[in-house]
Amino acid sequence: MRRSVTRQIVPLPAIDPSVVRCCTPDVDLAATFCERASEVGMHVVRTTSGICTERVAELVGNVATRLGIAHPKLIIDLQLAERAALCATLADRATVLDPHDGDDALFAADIGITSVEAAVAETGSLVSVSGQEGWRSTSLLPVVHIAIVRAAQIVPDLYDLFESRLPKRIPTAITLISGPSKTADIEGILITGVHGPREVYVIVVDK
Amino acid sequence: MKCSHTWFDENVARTLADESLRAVIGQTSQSKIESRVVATAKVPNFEQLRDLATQIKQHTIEHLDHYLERFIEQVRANGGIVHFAATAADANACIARIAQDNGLKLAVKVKAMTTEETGLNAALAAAGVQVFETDLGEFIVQLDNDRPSHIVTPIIHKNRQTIARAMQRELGVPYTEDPETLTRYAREHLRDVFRRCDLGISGVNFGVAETGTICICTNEGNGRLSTTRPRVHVALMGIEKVIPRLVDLSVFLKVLSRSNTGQPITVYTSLMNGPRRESDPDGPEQLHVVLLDNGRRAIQQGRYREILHCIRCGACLNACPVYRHIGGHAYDSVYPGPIGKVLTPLLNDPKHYADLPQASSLCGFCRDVCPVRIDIPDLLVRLRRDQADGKAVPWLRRLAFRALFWALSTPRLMRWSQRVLRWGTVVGAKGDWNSRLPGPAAQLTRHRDTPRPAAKTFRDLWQSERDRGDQTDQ
Ligand code: SF4
Repeated sequence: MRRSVTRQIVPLPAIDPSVVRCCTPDVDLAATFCERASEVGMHVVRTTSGICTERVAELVGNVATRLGIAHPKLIIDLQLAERAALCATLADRATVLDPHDGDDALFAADIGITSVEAAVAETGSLVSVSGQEGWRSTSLLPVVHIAIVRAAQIVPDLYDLFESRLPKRIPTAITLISGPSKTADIEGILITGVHGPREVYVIVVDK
Repeated sequence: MKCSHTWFDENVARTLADESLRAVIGQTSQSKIESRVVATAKVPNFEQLRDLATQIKQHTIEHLDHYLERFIEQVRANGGIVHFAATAADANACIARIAQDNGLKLAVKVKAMTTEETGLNAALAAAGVQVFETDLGEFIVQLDNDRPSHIVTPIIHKNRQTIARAMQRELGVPYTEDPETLTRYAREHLRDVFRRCDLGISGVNFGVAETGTICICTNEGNGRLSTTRPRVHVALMGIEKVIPRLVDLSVFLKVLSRSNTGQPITVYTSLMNGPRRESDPDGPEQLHVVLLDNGRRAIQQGRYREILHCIRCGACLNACPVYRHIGGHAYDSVYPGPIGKVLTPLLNDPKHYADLPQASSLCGFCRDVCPVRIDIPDLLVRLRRDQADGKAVPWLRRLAFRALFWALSTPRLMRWSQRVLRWGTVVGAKGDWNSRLPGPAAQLTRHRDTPRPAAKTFRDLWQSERDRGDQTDQ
């Protein structure tokens, strides 16, 4: 009557991209990323590189007005190529804090502006890594996070990210960000900004 | 046919009496199950992904030692410190020692089932460390001195009024029933804690052997804060959480949150590879990984190892008709619902939890939604069989089943006992039904009417049909 437990030795299955990928490389990656990123609750803006600083400055202004902050405090990722230009454009509208000043600066910031290491079209995720001048806190502590993604950074699928897109020496922290901080703990009602940013803006810069 | 009431019976009776709680749990579970259907339908190869996830888990648990060794090597290579905890008490002592050695006083915690399992909070409090739960639900549970009732949504059993009262009482904030404001209160209160904390405690969703990566999936951002802000990060990881390759994450992340909340991926997926390096401007200075056995190795070597494939997605709870009616608290266990019915008796005293494997209709919905295809009903049946062998079943029930076995396997006895039962159930009967059976059989009619054996049995009918047929033939 007793059934014996037969144990099969299962080999470690190969990860076949044609099975695992939910998004294939042949689709319009930027368009797919934008669509998915909006689906998970991020605000997406597409632009060309020429007007990027302008757009960011404009966005900062709008966000600040809506949050009711007259003169917002910003933390700008030191790795961001446009940092100097951005600081110049924003000079009269905002205060740019230096993350080297430590917790006082990081906790005070209203808006964090960062670059990304990569982005994933399938899930609409931003991929941020720690490292040289790359603070883990800039995309986490402020109420608003603005991320700048270059279209060429977008990979189709999580598979592609883990298989080939990460730096050779794996960074201390890799964070996939897919939407604003969310909770539905109180009666299942969705609320954003419980611990992390309440709003996430993604500026996708096309080639 | 049990004559004594157990703690489980009492818990069930209590939760069944709470209509509003049942309604809330039922609705929430239903909407999650529906979100799951929508989310999984969008992935054309979802079933193949489940197969892959299952095979990877099967393979890894089969070769657990191999992958654990590699994982440990890699964590060390990344600069992390690895500890081993054979029991819950060992784990607590180990983490308390880390706190004492480093002079840590204020801990922030990310929701982690392993720490619930070991009862870490009490142990740390005893060691003089103040612990803050930071997951909104767990924070409220802690404020209100309550217990979580679901492994993913811990305060599914609380309404906004109770939450508002707890916050008003404990945080001194004005009473409000607006969930948005309540959330804001928690954020502000915990922000201050995050600024001062020196110890961060988390569980681990996946530990990658290839790279020594610790992967944590959260939605609120407290997982990131708790593993970035404090000086020391301690991750309490069940040994079954190891997976072979980094690329395997792409399989598991795709099925994990789609199976529960229906999200394509959790908002934050944090992959951590050791403590802060020279080049990192922020992050913890120390990373400790405490590997928790606490009965897992014994399970791995036994006939229930399949249960170690579990990735704690919570889908089986949402699906389970029993869970939907009695809620998480009735199980009196860290792991409620279908997963808990198997895991709890295996990790704890099986006698105390003898009712859990019985509390299932074996409908199989849990197996259908499980991303790693754990055959929970089959495991439950095995547990029941073990109970019967191990004499964990009350003697009266054993006797009844022995009698049933005998009657069912002896045609004459079967016929005879049907008649006897027909007459034996005549007291209190209404026609073919009885709603008040006497003596130990009363259990059978406690919640529903029981049908009596028919006046004319199938055999009788068959026989008379045959007789009639014979007559017409002639
Ligand atoms: S048993 Fe399966 S469905 Fe249940 S929590 Fe574990 S992985 Fe999810």
